[in-house]
Amino acid sequence: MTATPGDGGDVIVVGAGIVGAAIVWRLVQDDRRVQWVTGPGALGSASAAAGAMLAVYSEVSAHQDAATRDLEVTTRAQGRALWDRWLPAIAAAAGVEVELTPGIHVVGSGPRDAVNLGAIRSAAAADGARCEQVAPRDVPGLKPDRGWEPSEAVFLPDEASLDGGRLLESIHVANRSHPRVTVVAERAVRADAHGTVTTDAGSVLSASVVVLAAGIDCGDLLLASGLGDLMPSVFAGRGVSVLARSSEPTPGCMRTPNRSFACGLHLVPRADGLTYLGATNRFTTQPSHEVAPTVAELDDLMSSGVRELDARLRRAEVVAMTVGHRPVVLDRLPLVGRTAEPAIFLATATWRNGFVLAPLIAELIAEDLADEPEVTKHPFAATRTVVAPQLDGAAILRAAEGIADTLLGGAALAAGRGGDLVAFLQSALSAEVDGSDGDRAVARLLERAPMEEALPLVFELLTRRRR
Amino acid sequence: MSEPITTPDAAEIEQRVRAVVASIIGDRPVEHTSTWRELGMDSLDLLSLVTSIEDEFELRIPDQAAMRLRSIADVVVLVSVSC
Repeated sequence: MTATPGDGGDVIVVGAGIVGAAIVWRLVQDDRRVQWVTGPGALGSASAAAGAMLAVYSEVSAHQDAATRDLEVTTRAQGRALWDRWLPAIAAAAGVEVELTPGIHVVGSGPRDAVNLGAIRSAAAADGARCEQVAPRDVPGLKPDRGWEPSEAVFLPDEASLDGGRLLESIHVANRSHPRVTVVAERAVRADAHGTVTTDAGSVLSASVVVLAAGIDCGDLLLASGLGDLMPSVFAGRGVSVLARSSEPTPGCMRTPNRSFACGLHLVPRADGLTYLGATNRFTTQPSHEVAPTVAELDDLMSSGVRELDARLRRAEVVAMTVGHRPVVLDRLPLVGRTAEPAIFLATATWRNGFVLAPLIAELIAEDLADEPEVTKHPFAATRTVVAPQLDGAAILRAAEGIADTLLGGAALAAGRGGDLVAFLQSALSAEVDGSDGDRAVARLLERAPMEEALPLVFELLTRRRR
Repeated sequence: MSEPITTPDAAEIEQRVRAVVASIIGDRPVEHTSTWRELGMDSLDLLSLVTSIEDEFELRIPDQAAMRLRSIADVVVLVSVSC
């Protein structure tokens, strides 16, 4: 059913990405009527740019504290488990088949990748999950440039990937054809405490509950109605990815472990013989949907992808470039459920896990809607106090190493000076974090976002000051 | 906000705002209503701009107000009502 703003309905869902779409799909299974505010045509900016890996253990990083790692792994495993019945149900409703490509290979080089690969193996072993050591030469489709061969690889057969773009089209078809869904193809600009949403076309929609699943834009919708304090600040990891047509498309999903400020370089097979290459991850406190991929972002992505994963991509045609903003709050956990305003729910801050968590978040929203307002049965409550992580010496060292890797771009320092650049960066970043340098722009940034992810921005601010 | 600034105070504010912008992007012609994006300024440039404007005019610009600034004209209005 399409667009008649003002029709009314039990719930308004704002957001056309995978999380919003999953919530709409789930709520109509409970016989709820849904007004779905999708915006004019876009299938959710972050979702459309995502690699759509259903990763559980391959997202583990060695530096995570045990409690956070266990919570994240458990949550992703719950999300992953739902996909096996969720995907066929959507495909059947839409009449569009979306294939799940089983398994993810994780390949790594150097000591920091080795540490993260070790953490992946340990986390899988602790849960009794399958994680197989494989020789890098046996990873299907892995053809790195000479001198960039990975030193080790693992295969996680129970993880998977899919064509995220095709799935989004499929779930949109399923939702739009449902008799209890009214699609409002206008851009939401404001959400009010009494359950109304205003659009850029002037429509005013009302319902008993509004679910904001609009990624990084949720805050703006609340700010517009003076409810900015209803949710913690949502920052973004800006990600650039490309779709390429190669004579030899990647046969399966392969990735590196997570690296400093990257979500792991990855290749994912897409429909029609295309290969997805993703993704950059530049933290920003002030994201803009308007800025297209920059030369530097494309250079980083493509150089790394060609060198480390498939040198044949050098000759591939780039058929599309996408930009998305992964929403994240200070504790890097999702925000799900009722806010302090009973009519407003949140479903955002999924960071790097939007696809794998989407069916689970939809379940949690359905449960929170059915429960009494004071009941929240999961650790992602939108009303929780979001605690800033410790920006300690270890975090600063990781940031220094990541920045040094970026600056070197694979080159080597002069003999005997291998650690000097990292040590220098570590010292400079420590002075900024301590506040002893007194740079006001840096102080303002770190006051707002005291996160490891913000440290490359500190470095960038310092280099600009010099100019 | 596209009206030319005519009062002496506003003109002086604009001159000082332009000097701050020039310290970030270099000395080049800038339209009164050019957006930061048109000037090639990114979020870090805006962070520097906001803190420099705060220092220049001895005021505090909250994050939410800072995010609404799109051009020199916007900054002049903000400073005019804040000083």
